[in-house]
Amino acid sequence: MSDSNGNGLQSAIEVQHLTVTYRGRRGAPAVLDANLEVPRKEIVGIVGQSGSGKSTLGMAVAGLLDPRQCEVSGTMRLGGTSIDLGSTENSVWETLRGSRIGYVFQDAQAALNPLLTVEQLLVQPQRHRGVDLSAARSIAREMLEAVEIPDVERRLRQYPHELSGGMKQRAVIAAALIGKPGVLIADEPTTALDVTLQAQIIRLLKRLKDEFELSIIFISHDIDLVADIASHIVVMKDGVVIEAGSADSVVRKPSHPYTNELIRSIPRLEKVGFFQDTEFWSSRG
Amino acid sequence: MSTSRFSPSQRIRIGFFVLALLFIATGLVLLMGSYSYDDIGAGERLATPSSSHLFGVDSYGRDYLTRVSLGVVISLGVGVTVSLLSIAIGAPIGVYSAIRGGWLDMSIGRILEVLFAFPQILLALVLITILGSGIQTAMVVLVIIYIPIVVRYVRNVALVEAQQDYLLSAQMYGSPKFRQCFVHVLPNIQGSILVLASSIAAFAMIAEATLSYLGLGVRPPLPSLGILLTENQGFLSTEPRLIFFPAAVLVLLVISVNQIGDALVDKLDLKRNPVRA
Amino acid sequence: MAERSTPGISLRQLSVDYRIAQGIFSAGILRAVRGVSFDVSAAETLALVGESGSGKSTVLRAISGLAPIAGGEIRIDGSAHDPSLTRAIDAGIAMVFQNPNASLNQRLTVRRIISDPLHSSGAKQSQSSKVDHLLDMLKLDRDFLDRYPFQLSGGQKQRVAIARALISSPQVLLLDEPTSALDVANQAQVVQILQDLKRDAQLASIFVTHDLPLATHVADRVAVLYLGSIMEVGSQSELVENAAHPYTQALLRSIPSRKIKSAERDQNFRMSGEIPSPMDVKRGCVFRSRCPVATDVCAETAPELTQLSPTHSVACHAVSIRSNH
Repeated sequence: MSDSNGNGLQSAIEVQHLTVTYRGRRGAPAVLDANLEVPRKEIVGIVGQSGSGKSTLGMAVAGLLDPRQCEVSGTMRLGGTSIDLGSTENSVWETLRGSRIGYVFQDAQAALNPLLTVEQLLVQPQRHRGVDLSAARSIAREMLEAVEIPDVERRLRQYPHELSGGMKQRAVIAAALIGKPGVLIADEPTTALDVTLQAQIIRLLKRLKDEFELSIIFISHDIDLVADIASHIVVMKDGVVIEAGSADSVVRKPSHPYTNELIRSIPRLEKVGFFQDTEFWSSRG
Repeated sequence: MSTSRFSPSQRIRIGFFVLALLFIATGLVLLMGSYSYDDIGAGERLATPSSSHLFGVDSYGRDYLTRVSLGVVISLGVGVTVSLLSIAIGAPIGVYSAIRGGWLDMSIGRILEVLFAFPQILLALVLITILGSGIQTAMVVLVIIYIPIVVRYVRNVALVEAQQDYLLSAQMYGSPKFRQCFVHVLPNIQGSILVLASSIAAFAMIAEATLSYLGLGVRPPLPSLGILLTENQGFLSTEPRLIFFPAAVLVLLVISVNQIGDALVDKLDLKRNPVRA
Repeated sequence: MAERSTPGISLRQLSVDYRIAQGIFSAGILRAVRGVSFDVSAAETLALVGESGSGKSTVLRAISGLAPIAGGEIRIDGSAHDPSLTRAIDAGIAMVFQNPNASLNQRLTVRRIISDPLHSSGAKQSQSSKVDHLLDMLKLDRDFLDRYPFQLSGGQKQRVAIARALISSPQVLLLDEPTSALDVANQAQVVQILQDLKRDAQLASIFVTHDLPLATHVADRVAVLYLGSIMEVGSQSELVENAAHPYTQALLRSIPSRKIKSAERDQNFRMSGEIPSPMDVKRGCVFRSRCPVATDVCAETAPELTQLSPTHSVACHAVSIRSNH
């Protein structure tokens, strides 16, 4: 496998034959035989509507699915290690999460413990891993600067409810990256945000990708957003990967009719002008 | 949220299954049994269980299985009737109070507070001196005690439901309050009301047992599970089966009804929080 | 503002205030809508676009009587409308809500849902022909009438909600983010229906959304709101090609584009910071804290809407100064 520079590097993460079925639910599996590959320092976008299985896939790769509720099968290669997605113990996942895989949820509010200050949020996972207190504190400070939160000293002492929406999302990203993982999974991280804030967070993620040499799996229902941020796109429908390829080719010449429909049904700014240049499509037809 | 390994639907089925078994058993005993509940010549007094008297004989010489079976019917009858009546009266008041709001809602709220502050035993005694003791009085007492509980609970549930857009929409197109209550709100809070109903039935069965324990309520020789416990309490050390059988059956009844109610709560929860793919 | 010949609905300086508890003893005033004015004629659709805190939904709620009005006036077909005195249906106003699962009574059949407003206004005569006509207009099959909402898709549910709104023959149709809760396919369906409706019905419609491109597809004119005030109003082409207000320009730049990667766009103005709390803005232009061209006058007085063309107006001191030269 080679990255966008043509170098023959190992992928950061490779998923093979992932299948997830919810127990006690008759009908199709949530994810069926999905394969995914994320080259190093690249962003792969997973696009689909609700019910497509995109979030389930993200959670499976981070070991966040409850084995009592789901049956998972498939394998994952993370760097050099091979992991069985169905039978791996939670204790193993706990060491992976944080240090190898970071996770950003859509709802920043729900992901933040209201009883912890920002500093505690960032220091605790490090202490878990044996980092001493003062080192952990300074790393926390650096992290907040990296996610562009101004007035760091003050923010460290604050509780989640004192932060604005954008700050919360940045704090959640900081927490996901505090263990310096190589892979970040972001599940609809900007869906609940205003469009101007979304643009800032996207810029931030791109910067962080370069600064921390991350590979990112970016899950969203918005194909335009994904086309902007990702170099590769995977399209899912009803649990199945129906198309995958470079962002350019998927978006300009989709091979699957569903992808085509998906792209065409989004209302966009129509006229030719300073901001956008439209091509082959309009709102009708 | 429960941690039972049975799904809510399964628990509802188990609950109903147990109740059904009890029904069938007591039905068989009462319809086909050869003894009457008050026949004191049925057998030798305090005889232990045998093939002709499956639960033995009590201190008056009556067949105990028959008495327990009738006790089940009476207890369940009281529980269900009290539950149905208090909800039939209290629920509409609660919903209307929530939707009407304003002055009416506040007044009803104050009345409820007074009723809650009133000691229930005192109420029971007053009613019994007026109406005399007996099953009917016991049921009237219980219904009066439970109506304020129903009104308050239903009002709160209705208030929450009233925030939903479909009701705002109805207000906007001028739907009369009455229609809002009974066409829109009430059908949508059925689940919560069912849950309440099962809780009240369970409470009422135990309350009836308590009332008859105090000498109020069902009059001997009619057996309710409470009466059976009362009149045989002296035999706890000598003939424990006389206490054990009615107690076990009462526990079984209450647990089944509670399980059904509990599982309904979980079912409602699942409907509001569906698992997302 | 130029008066239109038969305005469907007009707002003048509409304000909505909420009292917010601050601390234990004091309360502050949150100005959710500040002096909003616009006209929408019959057969015209105006879109209200904004991010959170813009007040766009609050404007609809004020018109429909669900939010208290602190100041300003509303006129429908020329006569004054006080939502606290007159019911929405009597004033000829109907609304479509964002979430079709919450706005339809799940326990009623589609037929009953759509015809319920008629029961409420006492009209008992033949409703079924009206209901059938609406079904055709919204391209819903007749056999949907006996189904329940859970048997319908999101797009179908919203069309039922629209039918219910239209059955009372309103003059003003309010739509509060009607497609935000729908997936792309259903959204496209509803957008097409609304475009058809616009052609055929004589309604004045106000369409609220956070999605600017969507707004340009469904509306004749788009008003951009920020923290309760209108920043700019214009036709679709005027906004996309000639956006005058810095906030509108920033919004347009923030929209992900397949053609222009954001790195290129970012050469220009970066929108930094976040939307401040409305309680922090007491005087002057609401946008000044993030505006790249704000001057002293912007902190002192709020700019009025200045006309750049019969359909295009901007509230910005920088633009007014420029256009005076």
